[in-house]
Amino acid sequence: MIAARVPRHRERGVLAQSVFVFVLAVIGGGVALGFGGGLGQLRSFDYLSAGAFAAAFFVLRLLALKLPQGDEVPISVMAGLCALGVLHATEALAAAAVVGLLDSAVRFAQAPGGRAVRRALDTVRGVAVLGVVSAFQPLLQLPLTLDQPGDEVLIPIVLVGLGYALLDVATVAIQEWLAGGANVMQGVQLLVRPLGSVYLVHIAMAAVVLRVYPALGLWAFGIAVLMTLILQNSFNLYLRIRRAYGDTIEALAHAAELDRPQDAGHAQRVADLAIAVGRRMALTSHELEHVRYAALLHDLGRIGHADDEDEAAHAARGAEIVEGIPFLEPISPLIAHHHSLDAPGTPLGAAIVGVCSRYDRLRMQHGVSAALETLKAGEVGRRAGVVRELERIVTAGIAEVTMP
Amino acid sequence: MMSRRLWVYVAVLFIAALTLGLLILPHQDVVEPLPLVALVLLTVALGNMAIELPFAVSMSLAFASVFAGILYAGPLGGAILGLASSVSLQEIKERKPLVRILFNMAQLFLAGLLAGWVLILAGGRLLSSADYSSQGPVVTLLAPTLAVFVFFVLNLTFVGFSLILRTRLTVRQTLDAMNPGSYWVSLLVLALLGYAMAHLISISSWFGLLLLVLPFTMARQTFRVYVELTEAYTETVRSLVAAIEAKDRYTRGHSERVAIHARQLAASLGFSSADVGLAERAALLHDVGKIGISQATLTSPVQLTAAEVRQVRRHPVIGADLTQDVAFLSDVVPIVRHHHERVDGAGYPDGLVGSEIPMLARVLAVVDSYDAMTSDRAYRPGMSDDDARVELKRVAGSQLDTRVVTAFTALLDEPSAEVDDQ
Repeated sequence: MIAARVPRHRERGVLAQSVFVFVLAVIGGGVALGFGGGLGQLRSFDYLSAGAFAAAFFVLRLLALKLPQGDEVPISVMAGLCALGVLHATEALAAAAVVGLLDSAVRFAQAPGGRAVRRALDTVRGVAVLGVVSAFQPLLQLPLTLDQPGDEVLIPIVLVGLGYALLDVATVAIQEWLAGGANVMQGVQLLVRPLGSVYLVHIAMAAVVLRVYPALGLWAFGIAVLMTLILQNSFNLYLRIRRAYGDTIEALAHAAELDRPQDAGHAQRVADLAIAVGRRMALTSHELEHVRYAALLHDLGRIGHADDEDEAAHAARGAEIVEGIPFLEPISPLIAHHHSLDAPGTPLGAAIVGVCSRYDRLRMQHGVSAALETLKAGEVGRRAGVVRELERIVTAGIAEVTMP
Repeated sequence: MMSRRLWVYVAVLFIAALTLGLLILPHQDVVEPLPLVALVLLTVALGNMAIELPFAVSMSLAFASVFAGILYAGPLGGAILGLASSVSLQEIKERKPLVRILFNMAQLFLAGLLAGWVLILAGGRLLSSADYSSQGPVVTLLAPTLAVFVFFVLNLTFVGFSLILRTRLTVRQTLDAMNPGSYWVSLLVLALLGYAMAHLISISSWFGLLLLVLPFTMARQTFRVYVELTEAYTETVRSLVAAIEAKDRYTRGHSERVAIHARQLAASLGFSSADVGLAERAALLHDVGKIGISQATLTSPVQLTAAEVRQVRRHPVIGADLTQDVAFLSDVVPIVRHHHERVDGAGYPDGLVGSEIPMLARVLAVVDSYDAMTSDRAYRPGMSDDDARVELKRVAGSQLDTRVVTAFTALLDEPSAEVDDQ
């Protein structure tokens, strides 16, 4: 009765992503060689410092942030800024590249497949971005080059840091888009909300390190890496419980379906579809989370009323149950309206859940194309927009839904 | 009586603080005041903001600035920042007893003063002095470490002694209650934070100081949401399980009642608070696999067929499967799976015997049986409380764990435990 849900992950758009990171790497490499080489400060390769930065890159990558929607984003802006601030660009890039190789090797050894490929591509992307940022290296090296640096040197450092973070986010979003995700602007929004504060921690810590580096040397870097890890860990724990929360609701939604064999897996399929549609319709990560919960729980009101065919009644019952649950309150209107989509003020999330649910039931009875035809003929207004996105997703096979 | 002893203690601390202050401070070199003023302002602004990050017990962020004060200006810095960190607007607003505010002033002043003094005795140079960089690498590390240690130990001792005076616990009990071992991660982090702060103020980098502290205040916000979410978590599971159970009037409220009893019983058996929470979560979810069984079977008023019995008996396995997918719930899986095992090995699904059955599963089995016996079923009315107790005692040793049954009946006898909550 219960099929183990094995997460299957096949990385999409590998070729497009490869081309993108290759181009980025060429630009980054060119910038690093052009500007970094021009500095001519490379006395000899500083193995100790490069090693320290490599270690920092590695631990920061290991502690990648896991977002509620399932993406995993390694952030190493802090190490990158510091490395560019005190090392020659070539040394910094070498340190990052060696660590990237190591990290990818570990991933492939653990589980070869889509996620490892993604991680390897992400490594190249990260190093390339670092190369691009190295154009601004003189600004980062102000504390080292000035005789009596004051706090004004922090301003260019913070600005370069912000630019670095934005470039990092933008390139991740482009990679995501090439892998079949939301468009780039939405991708940036999806990442900035949950990750913004982590990026700020990285920038602030890097600025502090560079400011005290002339006095404290690598010690400052060690201390700041430790602080960054601890702070990042607390964000990660928070994100983890957010994920656990979603997983628990998923498990309970499965449980709620067990006495209606004809419905087995329905909620999960609707949730997968609704998330894919929501991503394409520019919902924020917050809204996506709500859509996911609403989709998982949209039939809660059917429990114990299996024979009751009144759609409006079960939607109202479900909404009522959810209303009393802390943290799930905001999804109550999504459940309440998922069958009465014509009313003005119906949230977009409700339309998405409603249409996806209808699609799933039609598809189980009549097959994919017939289901799409029926929906295209029947839905108007905003729901027609949802149907259009749904059709794109289904025909592209982006949201592979597990069959019961 | 109590408070008089406390007043005497505080008076002794004050006299000690004054004497030692007069003995130590005049020997110190003059220090530039601006950095210390900045630290004081920052400390007061942060209040006694505790960093309650999930990696350790909370400690006040002010500790970092006291340490920065010690590193920058030795005994003087430690004493001033100690005093500054003892003044919390929050405590004054909450009208905490005066004796407590005075106690904190005196003890933090003393601890900061002495820690700074130890730093100098150990040969450490102050960051405010010109020859800071001339000290050897060993001293650079050793002296500050020693100073942190002295501050921490003094602080603990002063607070511990006031606890002993107030509560009359023994020294050992006080140490147990304060559990100093749990602080070391926070101590390390805050010491390093203080170290970085001291260096920033010594090069008058005020903006840098803000940049350093800002992330910690942000993390605090995140952690507050984290705590809220953790609390909402159990509440969500409770509500959803209740909603799912509501389909059957005979099982309605069952998991909720069992969870309350499981919690009380686990606590009375001396489990740790983490395990008590686990018992509650497992109890809430123990019948989640039953939802899969058709309503007709569950509410059947007649004897079940062999096939139906098999179906009902699968519910612990189904429940374990459902919870297995959730990382956060992996610890409830064995308890859910084994809550229908019997100590004589005749239970299901795995026929485990005695101590092979997880202890919390045995706890759950007792409270589950009790609730099942005392509530109505389609095929029989519920038993009275007395009959259920007799029945529990009868099956102790064969079906249920004797020790757990004894503890549970004792719990039911307690007037405080609300037994009849149907």
